[in-house]
Amino acid sequence: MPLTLLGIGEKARIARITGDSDLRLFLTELGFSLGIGIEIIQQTFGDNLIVKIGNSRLALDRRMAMHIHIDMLNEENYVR
Amino acid sequence: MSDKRVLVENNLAVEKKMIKVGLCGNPNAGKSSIFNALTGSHQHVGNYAGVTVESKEGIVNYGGYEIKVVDLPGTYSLTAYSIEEIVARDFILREPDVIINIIDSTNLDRNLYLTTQLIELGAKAVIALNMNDEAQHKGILIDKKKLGELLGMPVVSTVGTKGQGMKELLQEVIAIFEKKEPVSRHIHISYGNEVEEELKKVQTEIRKDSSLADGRLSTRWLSVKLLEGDNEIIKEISATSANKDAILKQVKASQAHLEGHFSDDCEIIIADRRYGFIKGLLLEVYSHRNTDKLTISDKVDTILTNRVLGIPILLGLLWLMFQATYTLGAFPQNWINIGVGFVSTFFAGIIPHGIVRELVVDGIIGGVGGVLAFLPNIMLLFLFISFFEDTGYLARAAFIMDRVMHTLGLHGKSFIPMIMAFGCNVPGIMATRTLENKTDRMITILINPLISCSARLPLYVLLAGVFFGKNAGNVIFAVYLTGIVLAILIGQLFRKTLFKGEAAPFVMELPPYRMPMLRSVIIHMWEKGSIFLKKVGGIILAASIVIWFISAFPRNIEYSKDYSKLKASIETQYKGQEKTSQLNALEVDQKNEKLSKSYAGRMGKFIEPAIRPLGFDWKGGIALITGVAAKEIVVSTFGVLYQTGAQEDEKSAGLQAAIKKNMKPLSALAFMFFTLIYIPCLGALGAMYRELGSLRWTLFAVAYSLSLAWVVAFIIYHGGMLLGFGA
Repeated sequence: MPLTLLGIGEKARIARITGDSDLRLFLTELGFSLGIGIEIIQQTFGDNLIVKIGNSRLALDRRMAMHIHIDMLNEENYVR
Repeated sequence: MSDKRVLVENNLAVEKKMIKVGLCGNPNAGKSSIFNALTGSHQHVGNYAGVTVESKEGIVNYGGYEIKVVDLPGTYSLTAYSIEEIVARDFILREPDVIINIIDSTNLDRNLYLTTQLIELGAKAVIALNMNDEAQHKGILIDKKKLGELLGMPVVSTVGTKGQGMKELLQEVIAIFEKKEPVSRHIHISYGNEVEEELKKVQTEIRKDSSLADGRLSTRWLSVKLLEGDNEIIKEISATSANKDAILKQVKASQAHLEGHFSDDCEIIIADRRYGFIKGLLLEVYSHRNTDKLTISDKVDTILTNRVLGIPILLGLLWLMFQATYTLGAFPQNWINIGVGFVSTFFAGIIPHGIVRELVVDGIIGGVGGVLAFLPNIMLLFLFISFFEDTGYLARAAFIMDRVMHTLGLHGKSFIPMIMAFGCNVPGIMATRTLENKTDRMITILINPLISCSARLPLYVLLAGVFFGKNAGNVIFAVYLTGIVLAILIGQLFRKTLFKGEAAPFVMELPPYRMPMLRSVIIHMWEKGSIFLKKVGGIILAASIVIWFISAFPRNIEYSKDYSKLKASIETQYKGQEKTSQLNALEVDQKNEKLSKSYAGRMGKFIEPAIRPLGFDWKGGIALITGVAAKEIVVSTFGVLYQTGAQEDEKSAGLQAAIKKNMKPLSALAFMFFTLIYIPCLGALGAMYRELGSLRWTLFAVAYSLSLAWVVAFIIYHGGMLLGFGA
């Protein structure tokens, strides 16, 4: 499911990144790599997000978030 | 070199050996704090030859060497994705003896990606594990020694903001330069059998061209770049290599083979291998305790980037910035005015009446002094911008504004160039490089001059102070706000007409909030503010002299009345107080007529019909013409024109009084808005031309801003009249 469906404080793992190779490479350079844990820190109007990956914080808009697909972590592994 | 010679060099300060060092690293890795800690105040800002990415250079003397440090643009990788990356790569390929690769210890995996590319380039580098204190605080443990061995680069822990680890860093730089560093060696990143085989095939073809195999560039690196489909390298090979056909043919074949085998782009396959290398590396050197907690920075973000509070807080902070700029700046401004007045009286006292005295007192001191008085305001503005930049808030501002910007056809990142523009449009226009998409950049560049830079501030402060008293701060805020609103509206218009399509998606890294070091904020403020001082000494001084000349010449004017005869008749007719005031009035008449018949007067009169509908007279016209050189000159032109036109005893009351007599509040307001919008200054036009890469678009910017300025000023002037503010 796309990253946009995650709520504030929820955690997941990046399963797939879509888009052309330039975009995927660019996202990977910024830290969006496959299998890595991701958490939503902040959500604004129109679903712009701040996410936490490792120790970095990244801001992205809804359209960019649609390129990032995630697997939810088990219920007991995340805190709301 | 022997230790003895180092000693001799230290003692006698004979000509020192030079080491050229490049600083490279990701954005937000703390490059500039390390640069400042290394070089202190011995630095200057310049441009790379040919391209206009800002570079900073500084010199540090250490261990008998003169070490020249160049701060490269922050990049995540060394592909040819953006101008910054190309510039950084070209520099690393050609110039430095040693590279300092600055790495954010709290984001080791992502930061090491750039390092893998330095390894491939065969760069001789030392790793600065920066923000070591934050990493420790977060429970991150890094085995420095092992990391160094695995990368083939020595590793030093640093805390740039506190200046820790600088000595060790310089020692390693010298050790690498002298080839005495045992850890330093060239390692290979393995791309796996399939890729390695294809790399060999390409490399074989490259080696057939002796000009490529001369050891200047690593042939392995060239092969990797070709397989990645790097445009710059392909261009260079096809332009210079004798064996280009065979090389490019092999590259095509290898790419097709690999893409068939892995069913993905070559670029991605190779990047994946690099990440694989990093993951393997981290398993051996990296461990951490609970990094899951939300940091203080995250908690601050829940408020500052809050969906409801974010924008009001941003606007509030900007409002505070302008209020403080005006109110706090007023005190030192007073002192400077008093100082300028003192200097003016002093020179008037020692130079006899005549042209030289007019030139020095009215031309140079009047013009330059008028602008210099606004130095405190400008410095304060830069202080605030540097503070926002260094705390990390500026990046949040882009995020907060993205949604708004996007609905208006712009990009969140367009907001940062706009904020920078409050200081000066030139860095603002240059900051558009962070926008990856070309049309987003074009629009952001074209609208940037609508954001009011600090050079226009002096005029607002002057006119608002004269006409709007207590409300001056609010009027100035309104001018700035209008600039922003216009920029957004025009941007939207351009998006809908000239550059159709949607803005590129938004993604950017947010650095953690940091309390910036006072020192680094001051350095950043000074970097920007000193540009203003240089302008005062250069173009504004020159312009003041020219303006004085065109307003004081020609000397022999045919007056409409015989002033000396009139003077004589007053002398005989009146007595005492009456006589003095009659004589003064006559003198004002004469000076005004003289000015209106000077070269400046003729120029102003020539354009007066065009600006008369806006409520400006010919004096305003001259100020606007000269203001194209630099917007500060609008004020210094007023300074010169009104000093010349005013009477001796009015000089002490100053420019303010002279302007109050000559302008109406409504036309002053229209004048402020006209100055806000009309033709960008020469510096900004130069930057636009370089960044747009097109004379046509630059001229377009001139044309549209001039027409827009006229329309807006017309609406304000006549709208105000209709509403009954004309009095």
